[in-house]
Amino acid sequence: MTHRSTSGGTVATVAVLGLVLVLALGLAACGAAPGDGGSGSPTSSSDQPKQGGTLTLSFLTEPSSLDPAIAWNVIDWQVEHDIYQGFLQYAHEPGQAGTELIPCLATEVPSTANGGISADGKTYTFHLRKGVKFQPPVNREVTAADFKYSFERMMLEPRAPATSFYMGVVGADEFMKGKAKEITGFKVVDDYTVEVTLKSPDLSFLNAVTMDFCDVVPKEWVEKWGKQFNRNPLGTGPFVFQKWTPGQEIVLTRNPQYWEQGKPYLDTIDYQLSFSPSTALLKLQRGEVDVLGDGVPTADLVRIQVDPKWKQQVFTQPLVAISYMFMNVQMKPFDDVKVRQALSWAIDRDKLVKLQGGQAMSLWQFYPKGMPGYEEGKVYYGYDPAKAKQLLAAAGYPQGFKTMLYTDNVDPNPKLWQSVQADLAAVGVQAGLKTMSNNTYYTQQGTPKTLTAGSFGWWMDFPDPSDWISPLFSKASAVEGGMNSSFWWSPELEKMFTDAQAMTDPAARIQKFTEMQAYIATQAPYVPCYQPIQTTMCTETTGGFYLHPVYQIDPTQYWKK
Amino acid sequence: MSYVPPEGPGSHKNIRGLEPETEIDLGLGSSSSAASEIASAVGAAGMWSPDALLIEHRSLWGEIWRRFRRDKFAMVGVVIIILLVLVAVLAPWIAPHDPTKQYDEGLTMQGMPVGPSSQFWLGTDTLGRDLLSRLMYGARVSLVVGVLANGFALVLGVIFGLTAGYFRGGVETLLMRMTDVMMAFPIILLAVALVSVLKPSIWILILVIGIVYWTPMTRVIHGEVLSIREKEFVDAARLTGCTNRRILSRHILPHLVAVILVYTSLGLATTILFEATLSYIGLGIQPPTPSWGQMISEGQPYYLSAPHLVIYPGLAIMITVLAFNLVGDGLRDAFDPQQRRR
Repeated sequence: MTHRSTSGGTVATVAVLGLVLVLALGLAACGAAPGDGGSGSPTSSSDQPKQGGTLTLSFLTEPSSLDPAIAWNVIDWQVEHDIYQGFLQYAHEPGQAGTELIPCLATEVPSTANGGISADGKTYTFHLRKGVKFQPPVNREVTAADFKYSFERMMLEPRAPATSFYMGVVGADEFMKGKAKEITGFKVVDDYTVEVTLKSPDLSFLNAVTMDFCDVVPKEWVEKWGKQFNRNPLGTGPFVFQKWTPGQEIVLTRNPQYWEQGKPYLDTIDYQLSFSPSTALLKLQRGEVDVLGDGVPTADLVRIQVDPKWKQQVFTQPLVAISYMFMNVQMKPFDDVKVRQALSWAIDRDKLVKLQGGQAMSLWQFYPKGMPGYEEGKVYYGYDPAKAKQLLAAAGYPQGFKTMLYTDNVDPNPKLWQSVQADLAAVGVQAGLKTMSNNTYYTQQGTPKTLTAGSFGWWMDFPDPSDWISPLFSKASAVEGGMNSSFWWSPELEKMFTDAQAMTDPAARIQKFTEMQAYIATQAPYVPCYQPIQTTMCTETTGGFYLHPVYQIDPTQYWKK
Repeated sequence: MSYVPPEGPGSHKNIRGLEPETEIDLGLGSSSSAASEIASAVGAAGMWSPDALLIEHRSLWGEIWRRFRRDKFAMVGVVIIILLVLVAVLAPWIAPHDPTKQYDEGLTMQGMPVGPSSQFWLGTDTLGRDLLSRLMYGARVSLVVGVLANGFALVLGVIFGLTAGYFRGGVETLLMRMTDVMMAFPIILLAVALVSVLKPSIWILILVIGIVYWTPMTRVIHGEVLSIREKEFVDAARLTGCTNRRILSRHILPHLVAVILVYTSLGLATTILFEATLSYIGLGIQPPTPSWGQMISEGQPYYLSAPHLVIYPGLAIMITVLAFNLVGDGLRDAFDPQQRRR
């Protein structure tokens, strides 16, 4: 023990001052009431586009891969859209107009009218633009052979998650099984013409082929980089990859030989990674960040909406996306459909919307608003805890049961799923809640027999309900690495899907998809919770800012004022 | 040391009656000051009488307690700790609300937490739960984890420190170098790794914090034992044939009580803070059980719009840690024989 003397006087003064200061701050801050919040109206920037400048966007999660054959995360595609292109693209407009397909590297969108789609609906012909070059340093012209290479490469890639969308192409089966050296249905007619033949007509094929998986990549570059290609992307798009500092930033610069005249406007796009949404907001207010990639955090929403300086800079769009609770049918007691039906009545969706400051809509069916197949006003199940308890008792669990609930640690999920946890407790289901990092969670939900129940979300890849059924409810997706977190599928649904895909009458086909939703509801593999409303901000110097229904943030169309 | 003659015939005695009674320096100073004390007492009494020679018997613990009581800050710390323990123990009875109940009226129309009101004295959190009740239940978690983790660290520290300090040699080298390695570890990273591998629960938390915190205790005890074992009464005990175990338990360990007490109370401050840190980064107590660190973590995005979510748990942690530190300092001063009498 050492001799110690305390000068009591100084300690006392400092401690008391400190306490008083903190208490004063606390009391003063408590007096501040949250504002009433009006919604910020997006003013369209009607100035003329200017060339030059750097746009800085902030995202918390960095891409897992920039190889278009493999990547399927929202942030992956966000960056890929600047670098890679395919036959077609979506019109760069907000709202419904943005779901229309327009030509990109093809000269026109194939249709029955222009002969691009054959009379029997099975053959698609794409005429390619001439003179489109791959970005430096590859620098050579893109031909039909490049498209065939890119497509076959994607189908063979073991880590490609979406090959099921393209199994309808003639010859794909044999190619995948190793019996054929090429996909016979994907034909190079000449240097600028590609012909794709399907086994049966598929009205969603044009959408499927517009997904990033079919974007064209240069063979020599891919072979040069091998496994590192996902860190060295190169395509035909308006921006060229410069560097990727892991966990920090990705920088893209203008493509000097981009084929579209006058575009892009920006010189540089800078993706700042690893900043939480709250930090990003502070940076935006200081002018260090131009666009909030992850949106405005709920905590600050009310404050921003009443701030006269910033409320004009808030942009919203309802996302064609859903957030739901999956229930793993491989694990007890979720293998019992009665239990799943009971829990479908237990969750208070309106409260989840309220917890997000109104930046969401309650969802009572599996398709979100904006997806063809959505039934206006339809409510499958509802919120009725008493009924849920009753059904649980009928299923053999009058005292409820114990289970585990999982979610990731990205705000606002931990908060929202504590609310779900409380809802479940109210009907007798004692659920422990475990959170984990986004990447870990993504892997675990795709691992069979691992997670009992938890959160998951699905954002639209293209505006057709096959983008919902195939990845979330099909047999092919109920495997390791798939997106079918409940691992549920049924032969009836498989049949309904095959039938629907073969239909040539668009209206009848969508009707069939609506029937599928009704069937799925009876089996209740998921409990749909809400549909997010994307709310984000940009600085006043960001020109041409808008939110796109498929691309969300679309920096290839923005400029710096 | 003094030689205490054995008891009279017939009474229970053992051959260890020759064992020295260990004596601890009371800090009354040398005999000269004792003499002056007597003189002043005599002077005060005004006359020379047998009663004036009676000096008030001061036991060791009485003396320590007296010194401790005089330290105002330490007493403030004690009061705070008593209040804290009372709140934690009585929480189910005195908390105004259920800490996990999410109230509809606990959120504004826009889904934001409400400030202090008549129903929610300190306001609500992001899910509409009463903050005051959560603070009270959070005290339970902090205290339980803090005390148990510290106890675990204490046991480990004492065992390792005693063994290393007393037996010396290879055992000492092994144990102390192991301790050095543990101290060099970045503790947060170690805790993160351990808690990620094992399923998070309160016992794992206690284990983790205990493992990380036995090092300072070990070093201190080791140092103390090194000096104590050189004292003459230890040699004397050995001469009379005491086993190592007896020497350790009867002669050395009592000397460590002071050190243990002081470092335990200081350590409690650290373990409580560490629990808050682990809960803050999401590795400690799982929701919806409240823990002060977790409450700060949940409230952090709202620090501009609803700062009470962060301030109150922060204050709670600060006051608790301060209280334990004050008590620890007070105990240290009270035990210190060189301390000038105040």
